[in-house]
Amino acid sequence: MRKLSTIVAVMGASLVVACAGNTMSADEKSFDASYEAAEAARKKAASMKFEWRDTGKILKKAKEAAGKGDYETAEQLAKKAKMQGDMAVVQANEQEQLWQSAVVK
Amino acid sequence: MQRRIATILGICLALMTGLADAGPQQDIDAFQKFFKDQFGLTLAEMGDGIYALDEVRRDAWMNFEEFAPWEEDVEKGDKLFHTAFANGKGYADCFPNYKKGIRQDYPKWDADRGEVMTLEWAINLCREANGEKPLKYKKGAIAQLGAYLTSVSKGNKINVVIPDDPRALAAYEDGKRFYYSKRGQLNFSCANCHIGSAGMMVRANLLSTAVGQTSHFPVYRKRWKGLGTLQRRYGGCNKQVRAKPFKAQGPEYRNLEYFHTAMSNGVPINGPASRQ
Repeated sequence: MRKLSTIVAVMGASLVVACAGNTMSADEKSFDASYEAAEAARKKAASMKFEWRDTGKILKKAKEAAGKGDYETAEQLAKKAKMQGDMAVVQANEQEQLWQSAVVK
Repeated sequence: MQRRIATILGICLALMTGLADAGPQQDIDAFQKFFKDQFGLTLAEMGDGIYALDEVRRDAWMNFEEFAPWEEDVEKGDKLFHTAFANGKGYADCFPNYKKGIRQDYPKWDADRGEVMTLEWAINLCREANGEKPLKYKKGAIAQLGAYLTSVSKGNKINVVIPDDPRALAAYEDGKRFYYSKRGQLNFSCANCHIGSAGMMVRANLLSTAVGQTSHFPVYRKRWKGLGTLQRRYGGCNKQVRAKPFKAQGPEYRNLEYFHTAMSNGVPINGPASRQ
């Protein structure tokens, strides 16, 4: 009987560890996807010569937070960087059309 | 009759082409007229930047210039310029007309390279051609050499030439586009500050007119506590609007300098100088 309860306890503990492992892995996967999307947006803005000053720095901080296991912060930062990259691309496209209207004539 | 119709059509076509694609000279005329009309300043006065716009700041600046902090840099630049390279040659071999002043002719179009040539790039090409390492572009020795060459060009009127070469015109147009494009998180263009808001305050700083901005570089800036090149300033401006700056002497800033300096054609060189 004692043996059975030990086996159940070990199995339970293993299940908890496995679940925790899976949760971490899901956070990591989610962060990796967000980071990749943000980096792609930053690179697109840079290729259009409109990258914003802080986007790369924010991504660096996101990577550092992920390295410490703080995936919540890392995810937030990656999303912020993605927003900056996307906005810079919008800006580049807008200015392609608008800059000439500002020329002194 | 047919000849008359052809002539009229030809004139119409020429007029339409001119309207659709204003050339550099039309840009310069319109640019300078805008500031002359708005501030009633001569081109030479615009070379004094904000100190032509505000009397109190001008008085303080004139006092500061009495013991100009850049004078030592000019002396160092003079010494560097006349120090021979390891192969026995010197800068004067690359810039034979330096005594007459050469700053006013830069940036210029280099047809062989198909690129805009700035004075700082030409200095480094001279060094490399003589087996010397290139200098860093924002401050230090390159700014001191530039300060010396600016000082011997004092009084010469800026004369940037944009030849009728499609590549030169494309580089000029690229610089013009840069100048007028809003960028960075704050969504500001060079023109926003130095055309639309010239003479106004941004926090504690007065914004200068775009015409005359390039006549006195390299400058001693209080903020830098030292001398810096024009492209160092470009990088700072981009950072201030939270845009990622470009590499000094990369094609972006060289083309920008081409357009920006051409807009000051006719302004006498009056540098080096101190700025806020």
